[in-house]
Amino acid sequence: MPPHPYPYSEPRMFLQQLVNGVTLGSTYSLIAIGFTLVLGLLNMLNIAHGDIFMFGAFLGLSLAMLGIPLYLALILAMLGAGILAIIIERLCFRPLRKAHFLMPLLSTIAFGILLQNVATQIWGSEPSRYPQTTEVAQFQLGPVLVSSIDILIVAISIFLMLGIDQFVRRTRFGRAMRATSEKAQTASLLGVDINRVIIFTFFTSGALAGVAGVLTALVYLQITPFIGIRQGLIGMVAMVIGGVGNLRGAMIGGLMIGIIEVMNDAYFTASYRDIILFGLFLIFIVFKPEGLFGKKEP
Amino acid sequence: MRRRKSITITLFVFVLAYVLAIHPVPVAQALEGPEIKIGVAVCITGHGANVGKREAIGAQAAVDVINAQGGVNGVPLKLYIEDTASNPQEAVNAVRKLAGDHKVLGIVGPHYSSVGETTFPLGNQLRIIQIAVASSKPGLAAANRPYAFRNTLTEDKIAGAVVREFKKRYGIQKVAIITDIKDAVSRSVGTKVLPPAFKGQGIEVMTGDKPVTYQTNDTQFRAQITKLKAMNPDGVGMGALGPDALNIITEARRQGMKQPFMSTAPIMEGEVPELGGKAVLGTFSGTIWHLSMVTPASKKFVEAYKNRAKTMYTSKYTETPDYYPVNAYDAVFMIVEGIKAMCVSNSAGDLQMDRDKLMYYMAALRDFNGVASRGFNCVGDGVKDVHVFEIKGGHWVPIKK
Amino acid sequence: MSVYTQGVVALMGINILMALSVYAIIMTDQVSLGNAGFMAIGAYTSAYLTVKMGMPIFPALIIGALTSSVIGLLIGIPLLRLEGLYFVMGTFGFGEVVRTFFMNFEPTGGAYGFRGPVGATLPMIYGFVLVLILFFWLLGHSRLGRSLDALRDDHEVARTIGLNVTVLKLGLFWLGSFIAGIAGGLYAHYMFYIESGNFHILVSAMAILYVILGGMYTFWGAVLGAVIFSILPEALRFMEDWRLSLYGAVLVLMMIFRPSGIISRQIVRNTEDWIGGIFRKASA
Repeated sequence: MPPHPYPYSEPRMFLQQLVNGVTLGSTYSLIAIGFTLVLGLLNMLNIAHGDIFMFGAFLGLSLAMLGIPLYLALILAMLGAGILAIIIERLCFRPLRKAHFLMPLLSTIAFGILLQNVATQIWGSEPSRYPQTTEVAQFQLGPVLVSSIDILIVAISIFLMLGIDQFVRRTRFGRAMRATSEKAQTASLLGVDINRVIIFTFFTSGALAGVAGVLTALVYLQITPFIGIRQGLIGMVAMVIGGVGNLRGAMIGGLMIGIIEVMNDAYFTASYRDIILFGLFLIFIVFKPEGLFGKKEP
Repeated sequence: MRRRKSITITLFVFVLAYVLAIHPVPVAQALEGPEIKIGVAVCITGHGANVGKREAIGAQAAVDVINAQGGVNGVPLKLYIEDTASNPQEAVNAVRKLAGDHKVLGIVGPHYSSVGETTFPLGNQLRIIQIAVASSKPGLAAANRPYAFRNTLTEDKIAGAVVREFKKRYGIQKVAIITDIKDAVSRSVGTKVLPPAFKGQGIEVMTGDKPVTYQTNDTQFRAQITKLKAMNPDGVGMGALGPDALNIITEARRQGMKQPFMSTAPIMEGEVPELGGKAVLGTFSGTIWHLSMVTPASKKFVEAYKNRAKTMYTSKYTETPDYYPVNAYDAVFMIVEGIKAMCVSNSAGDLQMDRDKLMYYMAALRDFNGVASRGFNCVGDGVKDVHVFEIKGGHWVPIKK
Repeated sequence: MSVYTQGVVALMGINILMALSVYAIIMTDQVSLGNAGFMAIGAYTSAYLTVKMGMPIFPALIIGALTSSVIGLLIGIPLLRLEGLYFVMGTFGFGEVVRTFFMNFEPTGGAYGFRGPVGATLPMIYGFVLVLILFFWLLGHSRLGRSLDALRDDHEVARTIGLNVTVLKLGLFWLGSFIAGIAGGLYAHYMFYIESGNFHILVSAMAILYVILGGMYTFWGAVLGAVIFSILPEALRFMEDWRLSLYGAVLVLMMIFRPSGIISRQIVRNTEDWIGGIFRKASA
């Protein structure tokens, strides 16, 4: 079918924005899954999660600048981000297990301040770009324009998400994770090594955030030490809408948020963006805290 | 014989008196030592860390040049730098520390209009001048007479010049505008500055009063470009910062748009020509100073800056100057000129009078000969020349007028 | 007092008020991550009243705080049904909604901010601080205060001994939002200018940190925490560009090594016993 001439027809514009939304949403899903893994397991929010995303993006950037090929930089950034998550567990969660339940959350906020300022010292406060060509392959899929990087992002995201999902459902270790999140004491009595489960969960959540960081920087062009703040919050919104503790919910929540954000920018104005997203967040917390797919918490 | 001598002496005295009256012998003013203190309040941490450090280096470079020439009438300058952390509360403390503890004569800074909004009224309360190095929010200095000055050029003056050249080159009849709605300067450029600048040149603004919008440092611009493309304008005006502009144009080329883009000074930072490649060729902008300028004053500044950057806040983000440190450099020279012209005494008992003298000097400064500064206008905003540039061959190249 | 010290002390006073606003809510074992939102409402309302309607500052501050506390009541009713982390997330959501609302609300400047409020002086700020310190001291030593202690330890037990848990929670949430509204009004009239970006989540989070690091079992902890952590970034100025990194690190370390806060429950009891001892000796 030959491409439509300008101006865009309404359905075509809508579909194109939908594609944009799905790609953006995939990165949000990765962040949301990381949040929900930790929240489901320890019943606590890691506010520095967004900063792990930021750190993964910068790590990937530094590696790519050294000439390391992109796929390798991605994997190394993933590992680095995972390790950072473990460090956060060690400093902000483990020592505070007996303290007030909110202490870990506050400690991660402080750790986030530390991360942002250290990143500013290392990489500067101005936006950085990945060294790569701006020419990418574009495909005409019917009425919409899709780039090769869109496909890459969605593919990697789906692959990782399905992988985690299957891992948690089918493997023995995955069962141990689910048991620990249900009732840690019982799980421990049944022989589960709680600490190992916790470390692994944190590593995974960090690794996912790191991947999201690199993908975001690759496609969406620029990063600063302060992007983690917003991306983390949006991931939290996606997690709540999808359903806390629910992996599939986080996936779908992320996609929904991506689409909503893009549609808002297309049909309204970017100023309303955050008020719509946080308004939705508030409505869900108050009226439907279990989200779309979660189970009702007692 | 004696009569001739007395006539000669009398003539001599008269001639001498005449000469002295027409050309008064300059009396070196007595400046008290041991040092002349100038304050700098910029962001060393936070969002503006990179640019704040450059501004501090620019100010210090000026001090280096002046002290190398013996200071001011033999008294050296000393710079006191306090961090504003890109944040109004910290900035207020920084200004208080400079004025109250360090007892500086005047302050170079701040950076950011949102910081100036709180430090300018404070400066009026404390009666000390601030010469901001970056702040384009319209009306900010005007609302804070008499001690607030901004050594920056408001974007409307730059926009007018750029739009004129843009229309001339590309024959623009209708234009669409895309703007940042979070960053106050970009938002103001996109919504308040560009539309009248275009209309003033008889260009239709297709987006009316509803420009295409995004937020600073957004990670993608798909939706926005799709919208712009659908309107099919002759050219696109942007209210944007450099890195965002780069991404906007790149995405536009990706989606097949061929129209030229233009904006004002902020997009000349962020290495748009170097990183944008083919996509950004032919983009127009304008500014008050650029590294490619070759006047003697400009070269002296660059040399002094690069020297100082080797030992102060050394990093790859500070080694090359942009126009912000120029504003700081010129501001220091302005203060020094003020000290000389107003006979500032620099003695502790005269601190308030000295500060007030500098304020009067700045308020009347119209013909300053700085690297990129001419003085201030009646509302305290900077007066500078505008240079229009286009992107050609990976660089910003000035347009011959 | 030098001009600089005055400035640090003034902002410290506002931080003390924010810490107390969080403390009021913590007294019922709930933690609000949204007090910056109430601060914003108080700030914008009082600023609008003084700048656009010529009202004198003191009534404007009170009306601003009342506005924010009424909204606090309205949002508190649905939120207080939530427990623990969900309550925290709910308050956080509220705070963000308020911030983004003011970013778009044109009558108070929208993204351009609101210029003009003046008149908050050091004596005014500390007037409010002292009144509130007195209030919390009296509250702590009253029967209501002991009920709140019981409530904090265990909601169920509190209910069984006849306390109306819901009314208490709502009442203290109202109080917390009122105090935050006062803090916001003072902030606006001290800083000469406000914009939505001044009321982001970090402000709420720092207020909670002051309380918890100072010691959350007594209002003195909130005061002490606010004092110490207002002075700390200033004291670290010599660190130049590593200042804020060090600040974050100090906070993390403090939480690891003294998670119960500086003033623990035991210290409060010991101090009260000691003070009681002095009075007894004096009257003997």
